[in-house]
Amino acid sequence: MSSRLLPLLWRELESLFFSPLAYIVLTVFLVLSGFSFGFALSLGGGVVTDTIALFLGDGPFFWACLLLVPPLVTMRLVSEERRSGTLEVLLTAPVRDGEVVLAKFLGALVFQAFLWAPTLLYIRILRGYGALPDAGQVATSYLGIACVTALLTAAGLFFSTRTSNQMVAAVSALTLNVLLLAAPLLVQGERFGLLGRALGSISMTGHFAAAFSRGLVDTGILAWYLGGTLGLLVLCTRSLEARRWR
Amino acid sequence: MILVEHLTRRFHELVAVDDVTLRVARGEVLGFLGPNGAGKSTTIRILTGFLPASSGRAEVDGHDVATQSLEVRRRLGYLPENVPLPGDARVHEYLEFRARLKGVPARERTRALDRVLAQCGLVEMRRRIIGQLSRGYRQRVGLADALVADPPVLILDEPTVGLDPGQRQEMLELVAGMRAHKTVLLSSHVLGEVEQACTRVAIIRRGRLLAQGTREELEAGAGRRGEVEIVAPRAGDRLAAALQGRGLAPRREPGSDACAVRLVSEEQGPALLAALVGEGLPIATFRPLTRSLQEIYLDLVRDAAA
Repeated sequence: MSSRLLPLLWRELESLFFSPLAYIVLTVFLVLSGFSFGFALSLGGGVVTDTIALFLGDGPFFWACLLLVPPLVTMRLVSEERRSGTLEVLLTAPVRDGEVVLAKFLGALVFQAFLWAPTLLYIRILRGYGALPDAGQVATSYLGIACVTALLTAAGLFFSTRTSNQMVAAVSALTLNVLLLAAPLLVQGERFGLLGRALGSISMTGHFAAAFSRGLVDTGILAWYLGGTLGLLVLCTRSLEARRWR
Repeated sequence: MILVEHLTRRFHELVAVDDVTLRVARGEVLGFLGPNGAGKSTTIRILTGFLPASSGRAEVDGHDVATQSLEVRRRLGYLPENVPLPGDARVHEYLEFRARLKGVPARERTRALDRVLAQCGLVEMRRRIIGQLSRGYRQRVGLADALVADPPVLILDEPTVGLDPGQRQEMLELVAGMRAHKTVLLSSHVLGEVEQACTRVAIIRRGRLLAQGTREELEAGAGRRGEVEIVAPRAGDRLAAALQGRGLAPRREPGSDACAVRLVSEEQGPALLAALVGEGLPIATFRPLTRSLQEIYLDLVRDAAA
């Protein structure tokens, strides 16, 4: 880790945690995750693995949280700096564009980890009522959440590098997220051929159903999220550098 | 040192900087003058590594801005126009963050912070939130940021915009005080400020450098060097005749008692004055005719427009 990454990351965290938006996002998230847990309890029928699968993989509130939060967290990361002019101050300091992108990405991830951390309490509540959740299933569910969050955060960050308007960045990222979720569901079956299979292989809900919610780790799926995230971070860096080509 | 050679920057069809060549030596403060849209900020953004040049090259402290951008930025303190700063940070937190980013070692950081806070008059503001500061104090925070790593080269883009006269004077004194040990490029619209703080001036218009040099060099280039104004109340005709009698060609407004005349050398002045007084002319004024930087600047810009 370069000596510049740490101060950049620290500054990002300060900026995220001290913004009013952070607390709006936190409130919305806690409400949605509360609904999600209630929904999972009522539909789980007393079966712990089903309840956890609904709470951390299959439920509509879960996906609402997972798709909505990254655009809200990332929308201002670069676009606001571009609008206010602080991006020029930042990029004329002795830092690499890649370090700025990485610090913003990691800052957004840490903030979202802070958002998701209270959901562990719900698992604790299940234990308190005598249900014994499968530790493997819980761990892989959170691994899945981390993978999807990383991918969508990198995508949100990319849109934030493309515009000085936060709302444009958020709406673009949210649209992509909804497409990523819905397209594989809409285009499935043999009649869609190669396109259907290709979209099926990147289906986020499919990944949860096939691996994360079942306590399984599929290296192919992990490689897709890791590669996708890294690819998007490279695109973010190129997008910041694009000022040099104009 | 800052070295710029045949620098050009195009934005599609627009040539924002057109074949600019200039040099700022250590110990110099170069005033970078020009109207809005002249290409000052684009030139500065190329020097700071924020934008690349379309052609030509630039060096800061011996490092090429295109190929050694990080090295350049380590040696550069930059105060951008309008001083964009994060409104949510406290002054000392922000300056500490910038010091860390610029690689100021941990053991020197406190001293560096204390130094710039004192230098920029921010000691009492150190715990204030930047977003709540007045324009003048924000400007000082920007300058403190530029100075915190004690860089050998400073680039200040319109550093006095929005300051009141007192703050403006303090800022210029601060810049002038850096002459001895730094290379400073100061962009400004305000000619009086440039005259006060800068050792040399470069004038740019529509991307092209019109002139550069000390004020005396610009004056000489503009053709008024060596002229004197002589006033003889109620004896204008006699004065003009006496000057013509000595082979000089006085310029005089009709009916005026004042004549402007070009001397061959500076030494000719006292002898001429003695001779005119000796002829019984009532000389009230005998002074070198100088032009303000503003006159020179306006003439150059007008000539270029024509």
